[in-house]
Amino acid sequence: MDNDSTPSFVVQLPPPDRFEPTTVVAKLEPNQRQINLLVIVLRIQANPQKTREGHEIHSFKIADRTGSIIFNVWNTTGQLIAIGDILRLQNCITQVFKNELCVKPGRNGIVTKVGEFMMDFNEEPDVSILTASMNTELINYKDRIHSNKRPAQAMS
Amino acid sequence: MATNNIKLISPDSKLLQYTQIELKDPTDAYLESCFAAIQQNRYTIESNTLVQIGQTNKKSKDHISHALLYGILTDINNKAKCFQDLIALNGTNLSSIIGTLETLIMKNWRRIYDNVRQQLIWFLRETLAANIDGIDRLYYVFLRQINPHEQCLDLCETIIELLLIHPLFLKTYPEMKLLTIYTFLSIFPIYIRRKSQQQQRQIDFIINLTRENIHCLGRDGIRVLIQLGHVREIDAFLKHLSLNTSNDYLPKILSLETEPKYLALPLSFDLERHLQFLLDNCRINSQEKYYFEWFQSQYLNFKQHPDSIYLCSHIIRYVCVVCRNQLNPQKITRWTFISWLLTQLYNYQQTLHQTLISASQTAMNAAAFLSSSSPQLIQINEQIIQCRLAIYYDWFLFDINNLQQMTNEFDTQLNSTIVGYHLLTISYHQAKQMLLFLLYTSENLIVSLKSFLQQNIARLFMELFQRIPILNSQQLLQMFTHDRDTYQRLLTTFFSLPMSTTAISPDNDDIMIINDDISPNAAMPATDDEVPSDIMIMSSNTAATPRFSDDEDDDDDYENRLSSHKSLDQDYDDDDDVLMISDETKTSTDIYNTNIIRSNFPFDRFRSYINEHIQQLSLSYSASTNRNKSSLLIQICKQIASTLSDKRLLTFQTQAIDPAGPITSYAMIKFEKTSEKFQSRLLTTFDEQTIVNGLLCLWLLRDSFPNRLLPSLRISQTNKTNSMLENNFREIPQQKLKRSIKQLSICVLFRLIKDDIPNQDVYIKLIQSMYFFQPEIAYIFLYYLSIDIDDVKMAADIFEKFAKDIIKLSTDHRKTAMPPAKIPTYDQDFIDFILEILTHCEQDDTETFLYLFSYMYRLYSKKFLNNFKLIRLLLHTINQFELEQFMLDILKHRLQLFNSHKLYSIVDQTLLFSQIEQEDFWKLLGAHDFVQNDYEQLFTNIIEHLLNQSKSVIGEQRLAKSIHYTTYRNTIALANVYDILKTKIPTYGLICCLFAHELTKHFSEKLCLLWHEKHHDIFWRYLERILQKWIQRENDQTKQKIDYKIGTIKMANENGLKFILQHLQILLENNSIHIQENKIDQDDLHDQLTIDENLMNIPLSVSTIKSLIDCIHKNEQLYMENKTFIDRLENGNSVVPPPLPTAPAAATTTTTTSASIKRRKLDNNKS
Repeated sequence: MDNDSTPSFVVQLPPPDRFEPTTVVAKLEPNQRQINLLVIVLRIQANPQKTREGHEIHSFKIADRTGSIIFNVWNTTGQLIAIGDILRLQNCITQVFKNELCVKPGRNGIVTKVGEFMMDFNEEPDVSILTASMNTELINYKDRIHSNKRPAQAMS
Repeated sequence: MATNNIKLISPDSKLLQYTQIELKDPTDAYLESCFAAIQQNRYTIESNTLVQIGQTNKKSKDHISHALLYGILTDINNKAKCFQDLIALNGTNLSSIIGTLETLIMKNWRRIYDNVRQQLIWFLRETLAANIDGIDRLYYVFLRQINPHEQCLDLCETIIELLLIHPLFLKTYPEMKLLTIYTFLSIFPIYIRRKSQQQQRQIDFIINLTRENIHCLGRDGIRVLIQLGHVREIDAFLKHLSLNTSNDYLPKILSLETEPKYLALPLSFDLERHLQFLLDNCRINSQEKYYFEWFQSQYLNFKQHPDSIYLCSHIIRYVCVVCRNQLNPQKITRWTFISWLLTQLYNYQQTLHQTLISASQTAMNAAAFLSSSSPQLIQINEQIIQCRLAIYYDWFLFDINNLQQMTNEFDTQLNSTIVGYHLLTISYHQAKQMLLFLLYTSENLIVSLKSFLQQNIARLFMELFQRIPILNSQQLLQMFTHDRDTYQRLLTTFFSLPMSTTAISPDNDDIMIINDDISPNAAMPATDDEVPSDIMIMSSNTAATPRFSDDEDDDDDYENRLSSHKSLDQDYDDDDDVLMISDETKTSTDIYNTNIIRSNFPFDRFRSYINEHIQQLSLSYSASTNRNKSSLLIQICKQIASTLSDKRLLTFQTQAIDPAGPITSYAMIKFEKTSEKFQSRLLTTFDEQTIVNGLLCLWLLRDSFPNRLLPSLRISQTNKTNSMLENNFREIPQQKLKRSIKQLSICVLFRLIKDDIPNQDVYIKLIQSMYFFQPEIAYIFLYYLSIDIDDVKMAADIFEKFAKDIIKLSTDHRKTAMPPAKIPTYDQDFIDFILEILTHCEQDDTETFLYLFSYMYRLYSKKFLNNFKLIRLLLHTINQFELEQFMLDILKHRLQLFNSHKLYSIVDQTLLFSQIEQEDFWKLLGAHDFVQNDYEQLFTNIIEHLLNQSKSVIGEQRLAKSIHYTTYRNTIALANVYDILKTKIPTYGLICCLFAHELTKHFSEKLCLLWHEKHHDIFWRYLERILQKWIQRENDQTKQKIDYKIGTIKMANENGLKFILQHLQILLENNSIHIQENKIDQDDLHDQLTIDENLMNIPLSVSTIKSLIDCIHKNEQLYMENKTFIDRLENGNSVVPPPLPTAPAAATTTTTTSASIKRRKLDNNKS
């Protein structure tokens, strides 16, 4: 049988998974953007809280090998996350919320569960607790933002 | 915050059900893409071209096969066609397809859609029918889904149906037959309860299989059968096993180990993976709380899934047998995990109990309700028994005679038994239950094999005691001291093998103490040959808990105590620097620059100094939570002593650096422990090995330090501060004291000093080195000596030995004293050392301090008398009640704090004290006999000092410094002196002393008047003699002024006359009338009634008055000042008192002391 005449059977295989964390928990600082993390959910940090718009904020303590931090997420996503889940966080941002550093999904943030239980982690250091130096940096940062905004308001 | 709302799209799939945040499974994605390729390549699933392409193109064959598989799973209409095509394409070799299916099912069983599951089972059935190669792999994957976690009871039925239809399958794959049996036996407790009525056929089928093949399953086959003992058929089968089979059939099954693959069967794939991960990776103290919580919420959620309790025994068995020991001490151990799991079960049992009781409170008879209607409780009780059996199953069957030591088999057996051994150390409560379980079960599990099982356990205990010496038989037996019957049974069944059967290494002869007092006849008879015919196998119901549950109540009390003990420990934990050597400096030279964290001793760092055996022993000592560890400690200490005694005691390795700062004695312990100076100095006295071993001992004994030493008299210790006030150590019986040191593990070391005389020096060296890191050890040592060594001299000697090097080390580096100061003598240093010890003790526990304080005075009765520093420490500490107790001791001659030697210097120093402390001091002093008896000599000195106070240089300095001094000066002291003297008879010396000083209103005036009133005659007679002497001196021109002395008292040369006049004035003027009135009746010699009021009666001789007046007239100024009084004196009547009954020389002193005799001699010479 002629090999050339046989019709081919072409399979478009699913694209390989190319996820790479961009950083680790210990390196997180306030107001970082576009970060990707691979973490495990240690515990539910607090009961879900309602915002004025009626959204539920779910708060978790997450960790990787380098440390732990608080992760805030809204509504359904929060309901679907369970303790011990291994999560991929893509396009997330860091923010100081209630005087604690937290991670939350950004504009195009994606939270994906990729496994459970089997991941090494360290609870310490708890990055959520802001150090004094970080606090001053934060104040400086806010001052900068304010000083940038004010002239713009005057212009308008 | 608006950015926080994520758009959620769950992956699209026909095979698996995803939540919105889950990632698509790669196998799913691959199968889907293969199937999608059919359409993309413009084919249909029905067409035959696919097969053709697959046959010609090997690359495409795999993809097409998978596409067909996807078709089978998702397309119900075309599944038959797809399957045909698949067979046509691959023949009977479907290995790659089966491989894919394996991965898919293993990872995603829970997420597979129901219809897809049906298709999968259809596929399994078809492949069975078609006799496809490697179908057993697929079958195995399905089999594994049947377990107490996933349950899949429907799958059970389906598979049994399948096996009934295709009986050839199990004949072709005999291994699958065994796996099937084991799987079904382990799911049956759940399956039968749910479906037994309808499914008798299936049950019969499995039981038939079991009958034929049980001998291949090994011992765990019997274990799972026992669990089903309540099923009629199985009960019959077990009876048949024991009755109708040949004698060694059952023992043979039991001796066969069950392979790990069977033990893994009742665990789902996920569970097995997670369990392995947990035991391999979980770090102790940081991760366990999370991993345990996740594990529990996923697999052991008893409330939501009550059937998950059936999982526990299988998990335990798997962990015991299949998992290996971690070598890493940071990682969690298997026994910790099992202990946690058991605790979860107990907790659940308790919750059930509680809910049932509270639910039945409305019911009439709670007890009846409990017993009749709680199947859940029965279940959990059964399962707890099953779990214990799972832990100790290998213990019963550990036949050391059939196992070749050093073989793999022996190792595996030991591996599975170690868990149970360590569990005995984790908690008292558990250990007790486990031992009872071992005892009862060994008697009842298989009656005919009773002695065989018991002997196995006894041998195993022996083996483990030697290999892993955490425990010894005494510790285990001690739990049953209140229950003699059980104690005896345990002793004879488990802990009484004859010595000859095992070779005990000489190091361990202490471990098996219990063997010493057993007759060799108590050994168990050999049982291999004598298996009786009536083998009874205990069914699970007869093994159920009631017989154990009785014991639980007894232990509550103990647990409470244990928990309170723990909380004490936690308090201690807060105080982190007790045993910590801070790691601030990190120089390479000093090896002690290390952080002795309590939970972990840095053996690696000190490897060259600590020998292996000690390391091993101390590791097991610290790992064990059992309370009685003293025999282990004795071993450690003996080992240390033997290693240390081999070598020279002193090695001078480093020359000490010259002292820089001012160093008082005992400054050593105040050094930073990491400083080079400290270490180099330490090395001048101790060699490194001693220091390291000392540190090791400290680390081992770290719990000994925080506790109070003295036992409390009160039963309840709830209010310690109160009990302290009322608790008097003198009332504590000696027995109780002795018991208190027995509880103290550190006393093991001390007792060795007493008992192991040849090595005494080594132990003392060890304690000395420990002292520099932990000064408290000194007073604990002292406390021990006070109780355990009755011979005071021996105790003093031992303590002297202990103190000597410490003092030497501390004083060697003292700066040479500046000229006015003297270098303290050894005795002074010794007192300083004791003071240091007692100060430490005082800070820790006042009661113990007081106890030791009085002990010290008994121990060194001579050395410590009149020691101001010690007295000051006592006075700072003591309260009123304790003071009274001390006074009582002194009065009863049990204690002496002072003697007369230079007592005035102490009195002098007490003037700085606060009022209360001064009062206390005088009370203590007044209680001494010598104060009351030899008061003359003593108080002449004291009064001299007190009244001269303002003139001394030191006094002036103090005047400036001390607020007490300026406020009270010496008034308190004088008031106390007055209190003592007011009951005494006046003496020559005292009167002399009074007249030599200025008149003070509160002291000399009061005292003179009192004596004048009460001891009129004696007083005036002495006074006359004094005045005569004084006048004689005054008139003697040849003597220098400085030598004016009457007795030992210097009379003031300038103001002498003035002082005498002051005294006479108050005596004669103010009280003349009063005295006359008193004297009237007694004075028969002289009729004084007619005397003019203006005339004074002077009880002095005429000549004395005359010479006195002459003296006064010489001093014009004085005469002018006191003109009226002197005139009256001049004109006064001389009324000589009657002569003293005794001779004047003897009358000068009330008692004959050597001091007074000296003084009299001096007087005679001068006169």
